[in-house]
Amino acid sequence: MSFTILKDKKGQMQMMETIAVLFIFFMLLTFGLIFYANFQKSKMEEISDEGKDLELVTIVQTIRALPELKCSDQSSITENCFDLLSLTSLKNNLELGELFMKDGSYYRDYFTSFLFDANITLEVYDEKNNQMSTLPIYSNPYRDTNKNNVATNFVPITLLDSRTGEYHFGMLYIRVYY
Amino acid sequence: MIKMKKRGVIEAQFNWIFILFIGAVILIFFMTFSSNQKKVADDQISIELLNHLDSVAKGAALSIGTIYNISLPYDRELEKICEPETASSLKFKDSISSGVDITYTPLFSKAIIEGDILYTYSQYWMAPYVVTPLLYMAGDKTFFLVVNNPDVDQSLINEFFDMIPVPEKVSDNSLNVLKAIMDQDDIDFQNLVFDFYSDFNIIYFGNYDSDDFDNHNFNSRTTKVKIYNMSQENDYDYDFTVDVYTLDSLSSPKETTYGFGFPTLLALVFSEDVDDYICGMRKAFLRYKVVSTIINDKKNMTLEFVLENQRNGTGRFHPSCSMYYHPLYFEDLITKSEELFNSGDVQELEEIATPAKTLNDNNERLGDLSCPLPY
Repeated sequence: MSFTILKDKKGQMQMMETIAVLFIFFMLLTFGLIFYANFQKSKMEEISDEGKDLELVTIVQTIRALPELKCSDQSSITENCFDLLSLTSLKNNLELGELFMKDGSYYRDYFTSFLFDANITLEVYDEKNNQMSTLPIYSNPYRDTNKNNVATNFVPITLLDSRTGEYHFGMLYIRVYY
Repeated sequence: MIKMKKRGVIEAQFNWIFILFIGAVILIFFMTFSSNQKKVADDQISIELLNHLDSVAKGAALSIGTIYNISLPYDRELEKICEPETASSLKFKDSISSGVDITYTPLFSKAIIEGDILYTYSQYWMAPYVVTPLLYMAGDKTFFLVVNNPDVDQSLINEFFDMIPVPEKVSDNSLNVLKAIMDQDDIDFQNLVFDFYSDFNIIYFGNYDSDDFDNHNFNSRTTKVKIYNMSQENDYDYDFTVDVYTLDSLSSPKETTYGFGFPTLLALVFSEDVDDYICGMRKAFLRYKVVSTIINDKKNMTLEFVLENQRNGTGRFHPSCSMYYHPLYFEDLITKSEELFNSGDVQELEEIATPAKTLNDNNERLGDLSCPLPY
């Protein structure tokens, strides 16, 4: 009789031991998963931040690729050179709403489709008077005002006044809201 | 004693069942976890690759004429969707990620891009000034063959051929190339079996002969065959009519379409079909209007400056300069590009030939007179 009780107790002890091992195992597993989830979350945030930086770089790349703004000579494009008159024309046309498309709501303003919430300003250095003049080029009229964070990039550029053939130094400031 | 033994046996069995059960639970847990992780990792790679593609698309617009190749994940096909009024988008087939929008550059590719390597390439579309880069994409299972026509101006064919990208690894004898050029007399089409690849694009310059092909040229793997017979309409700047033949219609054209300039012909060859080509071109027409508006404005500012100088008698510009800043042709192109965007009727492309040619002549004349150029 006493042997049976002893055996029962031993069995119970073994069972308790197994349960304790399993409990600790699952507890460690849960800790591991929580740690992994947090790690993944911070990684996703990092990717999201990278995405915002990438958006800014992409917009800068897009502006630099716009052939209508580049210096040209008989359709031969000069890289890293912007035409001052084309930039002024872009600014004027955007202000006048000339580049708003009639067909399709998506192209309310053609440039919004790929410049998104960017704000582009040009600073032109006037060598003769040693002065800087600022020319606001583009600003999305439908900008989401809830986006208050700004990422800024600036590109030093060569500007050509094709009427006189004079070159100027300028700085293109691109701000992206997110 | 027997009772105790029985209890011991049951206890031992229960322990084993318990261990097996817990083992199975743990195994299933890890299997599910690793399978989910694989899916997440695959999608993460897809998203990273798509982001990379977006950068490549932007980069290709900056480095015209450069071919980029990107390794695609194994067994994943890229799907392209073209919406004329929004961006073209690229996504991996059956992927949960929404894909990437190629917003700025008109993109031309097959609806499904197959292969292990993705080739991207771009060319400027000019009419007569640079309108936009056109971006082309193809997988390495796509094959292009240009068939030479000795009766056609060879410089024309060479110019077109030079535009077709050559990948780094070229092996002429195995058809493992993105392009090939052959004289019609040198090709024994009857003995040329288009195996290995599923997607063939054969480009003729006005000399397509359906007798060149027989059904035995193709097998079950060859599902897409497109033959483009290009006829030059106009002496000026490559105004083309293109008859498109398909595998089920080798003797009569399935569709007929139009192009203006070699980059548009390349756009057609890279596209899924004529509708897809028109969809991509509508984005180019939209840019055409924007670019024409900006250049027209620039031309007006230049003319004002020239006239002012002439009034003041500065002698800075040739007296004939002001004759060549004619407003009519720019306005024609602005109106025509908007019509082309709205209608998508590429047959109307031939109507841009005359104003484009006149503007080009005027620009050259302005250059000769050392006057400031509109473009």
